[in-house]
Amino acid sequence: MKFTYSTGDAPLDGYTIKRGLGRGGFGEVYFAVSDVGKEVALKKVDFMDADRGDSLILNINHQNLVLLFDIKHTEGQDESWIIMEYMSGSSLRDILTRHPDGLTEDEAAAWFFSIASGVHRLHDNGYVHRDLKPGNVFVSEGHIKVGDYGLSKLIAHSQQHNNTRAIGTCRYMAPEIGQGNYGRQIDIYALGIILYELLQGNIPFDGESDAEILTKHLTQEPNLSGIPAPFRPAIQKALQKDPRKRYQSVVDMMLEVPAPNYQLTSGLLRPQLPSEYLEQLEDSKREPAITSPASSPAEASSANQDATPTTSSQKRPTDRPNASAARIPTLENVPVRPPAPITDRPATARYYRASGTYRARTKSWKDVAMEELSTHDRSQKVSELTASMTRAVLGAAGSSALILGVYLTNQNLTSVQITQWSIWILSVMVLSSWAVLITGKIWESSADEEGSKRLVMFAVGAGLGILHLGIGNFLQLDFSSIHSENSYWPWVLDKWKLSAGGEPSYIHFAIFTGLLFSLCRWWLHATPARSSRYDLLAALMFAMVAWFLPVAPQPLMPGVVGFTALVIQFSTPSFTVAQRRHFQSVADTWWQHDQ
Amino acid sequence: MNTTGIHRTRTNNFSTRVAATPPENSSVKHHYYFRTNKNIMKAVSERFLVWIDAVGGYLVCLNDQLLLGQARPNSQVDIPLVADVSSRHARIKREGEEGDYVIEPLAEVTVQNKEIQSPTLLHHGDMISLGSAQLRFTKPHPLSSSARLDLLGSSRTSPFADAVLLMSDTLIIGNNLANHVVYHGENHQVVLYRQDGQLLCRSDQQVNLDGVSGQTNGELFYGSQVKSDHISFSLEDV
Repeated sequence: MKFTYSTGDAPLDGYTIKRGLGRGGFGEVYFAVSDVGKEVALKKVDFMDADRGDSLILNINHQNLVLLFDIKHTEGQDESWIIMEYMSGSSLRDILTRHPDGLTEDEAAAWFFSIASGVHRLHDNGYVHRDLKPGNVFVSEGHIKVGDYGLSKLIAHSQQHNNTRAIGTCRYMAPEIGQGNYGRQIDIYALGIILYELLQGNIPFDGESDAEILTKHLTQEPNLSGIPAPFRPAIQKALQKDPRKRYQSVVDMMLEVPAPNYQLTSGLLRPQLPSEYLEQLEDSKREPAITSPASSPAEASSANQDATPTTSSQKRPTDRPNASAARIPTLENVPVRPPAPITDRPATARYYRASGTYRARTKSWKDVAMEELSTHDRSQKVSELTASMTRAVLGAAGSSALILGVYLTNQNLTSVQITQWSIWILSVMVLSSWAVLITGKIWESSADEEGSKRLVMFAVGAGLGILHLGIGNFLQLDFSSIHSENSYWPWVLDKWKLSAGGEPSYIHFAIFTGLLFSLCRWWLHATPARSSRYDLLAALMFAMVAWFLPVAPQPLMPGVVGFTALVIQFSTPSFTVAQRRHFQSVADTWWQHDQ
Repeated sequence: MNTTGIHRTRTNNFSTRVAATPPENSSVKHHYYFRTNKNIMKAVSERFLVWIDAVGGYLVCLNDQLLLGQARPNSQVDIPLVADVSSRHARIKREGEEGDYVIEPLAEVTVQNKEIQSPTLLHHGDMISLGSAQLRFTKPHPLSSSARLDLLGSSRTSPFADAVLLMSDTLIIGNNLANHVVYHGENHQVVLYRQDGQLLCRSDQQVNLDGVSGQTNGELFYGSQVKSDHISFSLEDV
């Protein structure tokens, strides 16, 4: 991990950098010491014009939230620094890395209750965290604190975060984020994922790629079979796809998670619990009679016992679903505070574009898709390419059979000539589509200049042209034998100096095939990141180009070119509509996925 | 008595090096020029801090005998503790060929919950308490006699460090759990080692050492910076 500053640097007046801590949402974080010895964490963010209204979040004080001290701007440097509490311990991410099978029930519950208490305070003050993940939760001397909150709101004003942003994790992202919905339920969803990970060591929706994970978030039900029974209902409800079916407040969720026994949590300290939680817990204890008549007194009392903060894991009833069902009527009778209005407006790229202040190019789903594709490793790419190339052979065989049946048999050709032409058409299609598939695979994750790509494609096309003619000559084809009435191919063969006296020359084939491959953007049809699987219009356009470029007999060659385009589209799978929609949602919320 | 020989000033050695003819090769010449400029940089003495980006800050102690006690202005202890401990609370000594560590109590000390009255041999994983301070002693690498002290609970060192490294011959920084400093990441190992009173570093991949890239070996001073894609650290005077 590389950092801009190192030990001894003082980019912000009054503080000396000691070391880089990590890269959090929006920027590098450093451990620094002030001139009088106060240890702080400094987060460097690009210029940020936080006005006083936005920075009210700086004044939230809660035991389970990392303290934000101040925000300072360096003069002339276009850097802003968020000065915050230094957490000397590990992040939950580190701890989960050390415990790949998850934590004990008590420790997991202790982490959950602390995180939930911090998040509840944010919600209570009208904020949504929006980026809850283990990397944003820290422990220091037993205190568990949530960090990186509210920054998206402050930093969304910055205009320099567009294409440079790396897409990070979407593992804790609620499905409705795709629709630009940033209610507090996205935090509840993330809490559900975190609770699952705390108990299990892995996350419920994982995959090789962001697209895969996002699709699972949208469509798959979590597998709770490995989760201890008392925790299942809470996770189940927090991970509902429909935000309206989730818990509507963090406290509701906390009430259905078994509280830990802090004697068994290896030094983790009690959180600053929300008063609503304590009140409702008291109420549910005091009024066991309100439980529904269907449930037995034994169940009701066990449910209440569960919620007691000191219940040890051994005493927990295993039949938790019944127990929680028994408690729900209890909660209905408790006066619940009306939810605080969430003032946090979804700061999507779209929103900024509409308001006219956002001028820089926003990310498109294709940018996200390319970043996603760039994570594929070499062996994966090779296997994808081999599959495409195999399909290309099949497609080419099919389309040359079609050309053979519809066109060649209607020409005045002997059966030997028909065979020769068929072989030629097949090899031209296979070679051309392979060439495009290979270059397309290499470029599928690059957004380089088109100019250089066209130049490369010219060279590729020239090589293909020479091959085409070479194969034609080997098959002893007579290139002047077939063409339609309105074709100017005979004229080309006759008049052009590039053609060697009635026969096309290698230079002719090289130049015109090269032009054919550089004028058309073939590579766009050989990447999964395209708007539709089949693009007939483009194939038609390619055929038109091939008509006007006298490469080979017309209309045979335009037909072959058009079919080659279709073969390439057939061979390269494209992202599904659902995947594209997810990439779009990631692109709209790029500022959220920073690692 | 200084048994390490490392904390003498190295200025004299350098002036003789300056007098030597610089090598012909231009890149080497640049390196030579830059390194000789280090005349003004102090060679490390018995204690220094190593700040490793994204990993931690460590107080490295080179002496074979280390005094532990309360952090006070002008205190002479090697490992100053911000804790309810005596000004001179215990001494840790490295002894013998094997580099065994022995703790000598100067005030109330317990090892593995047993109060000790006389010098006691420390074993890998031993829990030590000095007053309110809780420490864990580890000797992670089988081939190195360097050890590590981690402070548990609310006590801490002054200046703040994530752990104290008792360096004898080598310190190994890598992603293996048997290393003295463990980071989670690519397989890249950096070894700090002592030779002829110098502190050197050796890396199994090319690093940028004090602004000169492509290095795998070199001497470290106060203020030295080692940077690579996987691991970056700098040394600081205590």
